[in-house]
Amino acid sequence: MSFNLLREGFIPILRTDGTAARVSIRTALTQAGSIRQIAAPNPMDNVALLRFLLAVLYWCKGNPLDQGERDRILATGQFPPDWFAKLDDHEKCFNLLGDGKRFYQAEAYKTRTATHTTNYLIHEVPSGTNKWHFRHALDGSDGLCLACCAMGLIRLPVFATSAGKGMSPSTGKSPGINSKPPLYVIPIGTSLAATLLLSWQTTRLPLGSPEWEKPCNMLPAGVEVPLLTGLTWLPRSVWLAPPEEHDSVCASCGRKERLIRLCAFDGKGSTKAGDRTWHDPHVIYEAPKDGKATTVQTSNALGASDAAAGHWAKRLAAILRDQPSCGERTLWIVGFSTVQNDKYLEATECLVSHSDLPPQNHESIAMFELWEKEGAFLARRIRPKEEPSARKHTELQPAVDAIRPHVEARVSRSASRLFGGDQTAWDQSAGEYNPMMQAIASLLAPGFTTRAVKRRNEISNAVPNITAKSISKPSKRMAKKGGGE
Amino acid sequence: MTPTEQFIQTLGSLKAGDLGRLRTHACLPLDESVDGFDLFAGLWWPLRQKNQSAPRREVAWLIAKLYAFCPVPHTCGATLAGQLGKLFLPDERARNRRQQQFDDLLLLPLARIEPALRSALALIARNGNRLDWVRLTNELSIWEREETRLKWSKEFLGLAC
Repeated sequence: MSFNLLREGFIPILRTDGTAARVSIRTALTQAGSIRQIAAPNPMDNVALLRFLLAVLYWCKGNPLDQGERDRILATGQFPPDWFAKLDDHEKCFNLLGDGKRFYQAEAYKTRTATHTTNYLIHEVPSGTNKWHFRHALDGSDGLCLACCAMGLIRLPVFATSAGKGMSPSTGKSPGINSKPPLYVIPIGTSLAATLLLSWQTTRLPLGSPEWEKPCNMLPAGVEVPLLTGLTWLPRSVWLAPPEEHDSVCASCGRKERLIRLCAFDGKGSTKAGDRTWHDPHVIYEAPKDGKATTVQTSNALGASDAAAGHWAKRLAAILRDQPSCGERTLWIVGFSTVQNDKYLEATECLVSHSDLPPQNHESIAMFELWEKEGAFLARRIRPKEEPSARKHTELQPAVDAIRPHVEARVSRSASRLFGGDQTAWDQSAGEYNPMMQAIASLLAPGFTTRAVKRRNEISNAVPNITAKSISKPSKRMAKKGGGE
Repeated sequence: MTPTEQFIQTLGSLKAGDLGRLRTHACLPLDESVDGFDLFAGLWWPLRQKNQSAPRREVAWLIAKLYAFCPVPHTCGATLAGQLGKLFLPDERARNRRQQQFDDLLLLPLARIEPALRSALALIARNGNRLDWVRLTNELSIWEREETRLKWSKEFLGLAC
């Protein structure tokens, strides 16, 4: 059986006329103008496939053209088919099966016995000891269809996490090039072509070669990682077993097709950065601490008592600091949170639209950061003045944590009005806390005595204090310890 | 004129001797002596006969004794809680003590509230303030309701009700 990704439809898409389909790599690129978006059910697949198509675009055409050519593409809505002639010359690189070279698979593992379940390729399907899941699957019994295998392989460069030695005492499971998966921030347009054009920017990095052309076992050390190498480097060595002869239900998409149940699956050992440098085009880097820039990552919402309610503000501040202003844009933000590196928790996505934000609006950025800190310390502010110890009032934090997801969700939905730093908008946002704080106040200070009424008033009136003055003079308590969740 | 207003007006027209007799019944129930019972019956029964919404007997007896103890002039709107809350106190400790005493008053049932109200009235009188007796009577009539005491707390703290 053969399955070539240039011909076989495996990428789920939504066309501009509203119809859904699965298309091949070639179709996705040549018809990108009539495709609204990649439409996999999991945002991780959407990001991984988009970055993969972007890598193919760079591989076929190199750095982008002048603005005139880009405008023509946007006007016609199509990439010229002759741009992708290179795909025909390297068709064999995109074979998912077969004895020769295979797409995103390690030929060195061809002769190894396939003993691991293919469910390892899809994070949300439980496998091995990773039992965090929303569906049931049995290793060795359940498997994936060829399309899902392909998508699982394409996820590897983007969302692989590190783990212990486990199955592979000699090599260990290494993370992707960005280590713990960061937040991916991608500008999007009204079609796949427009979205690709927004990310297809002239890069100062050497282009290098992608994994499907020249597999790279280990990342280069001591140099700047080339763009295509960085976008496609595989932290796992995989070789798929042959598909079964009969049709069964795929554990990921549910379609009844010939499944692959087993594969050879291995890590690549330690990939510590050393003096290697890599700048991902879709990742936000924060100011260097101890000389090393760190990436912005998504919080562990399931582990945080307030479901990481205030993280959206910290994320926006980082984006505003990092993204240059270029008119009206929509940013698509995708995060993947894990705990203990290989316990997969959740994938989140959101859209942020903003128009004509002045570049590097420091006051606006500072206000978002202050909002996140003020929200995190709200419980501390409602401790009775005569008993400031947290140990005596353990009921306060859970009460505030219970309402913060609701309030922060309301505020984050209208975050774009906060970009300008308008004080009225921030006051209105702080006011979103009032109804819930009144509810907490009735809960925590019941009764009719003056002491109860006074305490209820103190709690009801506690809201984040976001003013220009409070930015320049943060409260002493917040300054003592690190803020945040 | 409401029955409560009529009752307060009647109290206001009592002579010194009657007020003195009422004062001797401080913290005593109505049926403790014939003298007290007769005096009160003369004040309250004619109102009650005409109008069923006259203050009920226990509350009217309480108000009569309080008025006799401290006949602070009546003024509309000068609530007891509000007057107490406005009294000047020099330091934080004194204010906290006063607030605690007021909270203790709020927690008392009607049957045991007279001594606390007498202290409160004495404070108001000492500071030359006035009192809305009509409102006091009406609110003591529904003292069991939490809203009444919550309203007193807010008035004491000077908050909008």
